[in-house]
Amino acid sequence: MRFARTRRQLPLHLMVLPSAALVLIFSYGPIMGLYIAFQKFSVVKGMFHSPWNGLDNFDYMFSLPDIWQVIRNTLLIACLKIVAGLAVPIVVALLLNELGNRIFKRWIQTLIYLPHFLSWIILGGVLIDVLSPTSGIVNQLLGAFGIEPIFFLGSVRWFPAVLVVSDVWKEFGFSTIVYLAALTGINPALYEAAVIDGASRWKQTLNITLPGMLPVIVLLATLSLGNVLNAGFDQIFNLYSPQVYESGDVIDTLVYRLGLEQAQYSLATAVGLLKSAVSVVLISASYALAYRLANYRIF
Amino acid sequence: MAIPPAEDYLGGAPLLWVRTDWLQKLNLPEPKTMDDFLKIADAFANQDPDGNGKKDTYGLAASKDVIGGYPDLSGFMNGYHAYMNVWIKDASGQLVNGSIQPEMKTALGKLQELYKAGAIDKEFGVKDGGKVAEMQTAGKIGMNFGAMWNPLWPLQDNVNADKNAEWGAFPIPSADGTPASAQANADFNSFWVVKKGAAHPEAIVKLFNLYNEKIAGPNAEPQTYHTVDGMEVFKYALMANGFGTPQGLLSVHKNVVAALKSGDGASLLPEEKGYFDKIKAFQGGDRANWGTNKVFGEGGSWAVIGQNYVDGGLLTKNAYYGPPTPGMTEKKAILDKLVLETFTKIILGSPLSEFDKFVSDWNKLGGEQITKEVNDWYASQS
Repeated sequence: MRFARTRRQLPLHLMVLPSAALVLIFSYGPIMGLYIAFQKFSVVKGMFHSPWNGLDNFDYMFSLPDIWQVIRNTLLIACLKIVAGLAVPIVVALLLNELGNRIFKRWIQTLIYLPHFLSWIILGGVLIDVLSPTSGIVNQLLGAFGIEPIFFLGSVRWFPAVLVVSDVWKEFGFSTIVYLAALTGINPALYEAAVIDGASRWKQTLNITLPGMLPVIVLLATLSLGNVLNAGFDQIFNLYSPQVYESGDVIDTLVYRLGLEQAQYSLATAVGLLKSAVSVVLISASYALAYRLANYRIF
Repeated sequence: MAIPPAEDYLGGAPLLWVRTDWLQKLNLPEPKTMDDFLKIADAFANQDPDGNGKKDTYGLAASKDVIGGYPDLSGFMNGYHAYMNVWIKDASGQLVNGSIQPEMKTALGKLQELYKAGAIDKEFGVKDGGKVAEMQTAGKIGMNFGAMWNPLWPLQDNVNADKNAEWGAFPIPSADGTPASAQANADFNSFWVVKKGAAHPEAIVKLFNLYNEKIAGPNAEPQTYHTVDGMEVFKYALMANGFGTPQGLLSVHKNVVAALKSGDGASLLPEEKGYFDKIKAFQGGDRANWGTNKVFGEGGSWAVIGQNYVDGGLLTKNAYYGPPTPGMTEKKAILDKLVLETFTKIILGSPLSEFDKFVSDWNKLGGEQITKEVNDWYASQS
């Protein structure tokens, strides 16, 4: 009996095998290399013969003159992105859900989804033009309202805001789709019952739609907390300049210049390890919270 | 022991590129001194050289990276005898970093004035070379400092777009009576090595010799070993990488120009023949080959490099060419950031006095240690 079931499932197991192998090779395999974070790694001596130096790499990182400013920038930009990246798609999904015209809704959905497919290399060039204080369309619009041109990408004050807004603009369409999918899973009988009870649209949203979306919201919030030290390397690297290092230099860009351009691989690994450790702690903590407060389980 | 590739200091040395059709239009002299240069930069920005009635042109190209092959403000600094990010010998024979010398303060002050006067794009601090090239291609920029290959990119694009556009190559003008010397850097980042105890260590030298014999020697067979049916087979030689003709591209330029004068390209090496043909096409009216002519032809990049930088001895080579010192590995990224951030801010209008604080910060953050290591290395060389 048992044997027959295993036999029946055998093709399925075989089909999973390649993807399991990919995960093992590309996600678990490199974990072994993490130990160079505790070495004074030399390319010539290789992974197995480089001398150990304990926590020196971590010490060195925290002794860098700008490190606290860089950590502050990272946390600020990442946290703003997490909050905005959660709030905006939820609101947009709720609004789209209220739209009666299906074709119009589809159009909007597709349009806001499109920027997700552009790389930051391209968008970096586009944003520099669009946000230019002399010829950019944004400042020309602001000028029509009598506002002095703002040098968005060259101003220490505005730069983090540009990062957050442009990141949300690029990605909110994608998350919106996830929320919209969650909405379709809500039992229509609930709405019918609410209408009979005399609930307004607003009351329905508050008492049926939002609670129905809650599991997905909790899931995405939990996962996004792991990004608290990821301010977005691709984006910042393509937009920042020495002019805005003060508010735009983040851990990843610093490590790129330090670890890769100067070939300090141990340092880059140490920072990567530290970031992963912080992410694991935060994800575990938020999962525990979600489990306790919202009775939500992933596993 | 390791064998480094052939040195090439000349390929990256900055030249001054000027829209000569704009010079004629505004009745300006060629830039002989830094004063001429500043006047031209101002005129290009304020006297509407493109004649469209709008104040939308700039005198000098600049990017957020400040220096590099294009656009390269190190050329401007060299005009004030300041050298960014290279090691130079001071009066006492010690090696010092060019970025922190008093001459640099003067040069940055002048750049600040140019920026204030509108001769440099207000937004240069956020633009990379590609973005600046778009403006120069569109005919908005009248001068830039940059390497010998600039005519091929981005100047060729401007020449394609505007049939009146013409650019001239000039040596770096000087701010005083002493001729300006171009800074030059060569990155020795690959080496040939032989394993200790190898049976035939001399084989590596034999292979080098064979390569030079077949490609550049008197009995060379370039038809077989350089380019066959348009395929550059020389690139696949075991020991070729980094080794070209002994004189490098400068001799290519000289041979091509000599052949153009005599009208006979038969004795040229295949590579040279390729340039010869393109320049012939340019002379026949094909502006798509303007760039090749400006690099290898008469009055082009290599003509200026050869006559001024090489024959005139006006090249300031980076005096440090050893491997990265321990201090560099640890601190260079921090110092690079400090240099770029400070220089950009000063050009954008921060008080010039910040330069003095920058010098002491630079020393404190590891510059002093690196300077010592560099001088120890230097002492061990002689």
